[in-house]
Amino acid sequence: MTARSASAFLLVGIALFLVPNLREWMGFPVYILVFLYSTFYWITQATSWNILSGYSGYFSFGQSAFVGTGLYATAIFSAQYRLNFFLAVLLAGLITTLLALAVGFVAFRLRSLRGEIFTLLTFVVAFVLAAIAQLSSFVDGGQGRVLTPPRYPAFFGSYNDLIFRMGAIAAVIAVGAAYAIQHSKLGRGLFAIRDDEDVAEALGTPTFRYKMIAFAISGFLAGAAGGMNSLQVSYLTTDTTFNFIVPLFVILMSTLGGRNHWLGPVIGAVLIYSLQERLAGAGFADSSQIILGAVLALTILVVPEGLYVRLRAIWRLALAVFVIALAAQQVLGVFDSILTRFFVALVVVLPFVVVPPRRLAGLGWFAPRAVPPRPRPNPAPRANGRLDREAAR
Amino acid sequence: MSGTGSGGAARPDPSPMLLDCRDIHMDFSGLRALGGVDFSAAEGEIVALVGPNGSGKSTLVNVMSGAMRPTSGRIRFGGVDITGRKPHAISRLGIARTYQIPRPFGTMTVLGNVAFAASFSADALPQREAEQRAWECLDFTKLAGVAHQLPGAINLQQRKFLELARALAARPRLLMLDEVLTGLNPAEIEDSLDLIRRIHDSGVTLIIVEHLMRVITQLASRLVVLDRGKLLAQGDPGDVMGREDVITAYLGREYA
Repeated sequence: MTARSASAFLLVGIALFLVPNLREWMGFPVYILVFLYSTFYWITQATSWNILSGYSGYFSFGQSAFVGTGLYATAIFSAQYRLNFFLAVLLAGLITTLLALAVGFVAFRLRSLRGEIFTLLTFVVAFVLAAIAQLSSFVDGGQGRVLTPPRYPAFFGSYNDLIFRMGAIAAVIAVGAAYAIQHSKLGRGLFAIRDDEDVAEALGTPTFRYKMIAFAISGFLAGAAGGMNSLQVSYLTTDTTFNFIVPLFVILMSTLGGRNHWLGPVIGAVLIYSLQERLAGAGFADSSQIILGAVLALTILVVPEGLYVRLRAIWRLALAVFVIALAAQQVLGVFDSILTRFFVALVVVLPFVVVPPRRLAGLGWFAPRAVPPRPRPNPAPRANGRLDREAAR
Repeated sequence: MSGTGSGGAARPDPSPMLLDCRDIHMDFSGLRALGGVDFSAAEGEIVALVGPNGSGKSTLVNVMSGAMRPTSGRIRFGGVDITGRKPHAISRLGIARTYQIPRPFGTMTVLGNVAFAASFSADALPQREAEQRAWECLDFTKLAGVAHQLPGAINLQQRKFLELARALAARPRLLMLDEVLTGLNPAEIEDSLDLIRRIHDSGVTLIIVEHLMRVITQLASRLVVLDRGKLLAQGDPGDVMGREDVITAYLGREYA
């Protein structure tokens, strides 16, 4: 990560941290903070998944193993041992890092555990951990666990301000990590592993080490964010924490947004979480899963490479449509909730993203544009290697 | 990162061979692919490794590149025991290979594929310099014109040349070419032979696995014939090709 991009992430983090201070001045209600917290939470989880599974192609179905372990570990450290909450969250992250390393040590050594067998193995890990938590009275014992709100420093503000700020910090760290990895040698190695692992290894990539590092980072982010989510949960059960909805959601989010890019899971998480939340808010909680599933299946069929690639090409058009849609709702006075308006604007943009780019070719400045490749640098004078001499002929 | 069980201290090697395989056995759950093969290549040689289908050529390449661990036997490269080392460690010592069916990274451009090899080689070039070297390798293999294409958009010969460019980006001492001419038309074969000669002239030792015997005898300084996992013959291409047992193994009994 360059100093410039690092400071950009830092600035975004500081800006988000200050949002609760500006809330009353900006005039939006408290529930927006809670909504945004959950969006940040899912951004963090989807990004965590994408760092291993999106970048390297090792599809994990065990995200809930990290989430559940992180939650229970935080609960035990924080509620039972009266440890500082922030420390408890970090420790939970360390425990899930070790869990990832243990699973990876077994799974990444054997060529026979590639592909769907890896997916199955990670699923089984979540399943087994849930069963252990269920049986162990130290962890849960089938009784569930009551959580009490932790103590925290006053500068975090009200409780809602706290969870918003924690969520924002987690999301900025996770997305910043995904960005840094994508632009590093580690990221290039992971992409090569996804394309052809044997060739990557034969060209000098230490594939085992790279997969372990990616899984460890993914495990830390998922576990720590899971632990952080105990702020929003008052009663833990193994059913709700080690729930298969978690891996399903993060896979769908990353796939919808695009697994090849750090922004993909962010886009997917915003879309899917707000869709689900708005449907529930409109009283379709029961049928929301069906609508969600249908929308996703369609989008993924039409744009299998993920929305990010399309959005990058038409971002001018998408932004213009989004702003117009928001303004139109304001002028017409429809949908008084900010969230609903935001969501409606997103839905209005979606068709432009999904439509084949060539149909938008006539839109001039708003037409889809490809990112031009970096041009060839001017050959600098250099010592004559054997290949150089050949090239000069 | 250094290999497991290599037991390999870098003792000075008495043999002048760049690559030296001794008594290589390779069993696949009961199936014997290699049954005690000795094989070597001296610095600057072009060794052709030939033999009928299933004779163990590709297995031997896989063993030498570390993709497969031999059941028994020892492999030394530049005097260092590399038996059982991982492929990435072996590649960083200076052994590169190409694949029978080209295996480019499908989501990276032609340039990206070659730059990848430069940045993951022993030289560990940073991205800009890796791209600089990639451009040189693309000039060398006449692929600069398709540098920004994805591998799916270029033809078979270009994909085969991309395999070569990617292998060269690591500046290897030894390059193993696995059936690099298969599937090409006569004009493309001429082009490829010219490129292979230029690679050799630039100081790379070559091991060429090939089916096309007539072509390979023009190129190789030494011919090694495998048959059913054993060494059948080796020596000067002209002499070896005249041997009756070689003709029998290759063409069948009635031609002998």
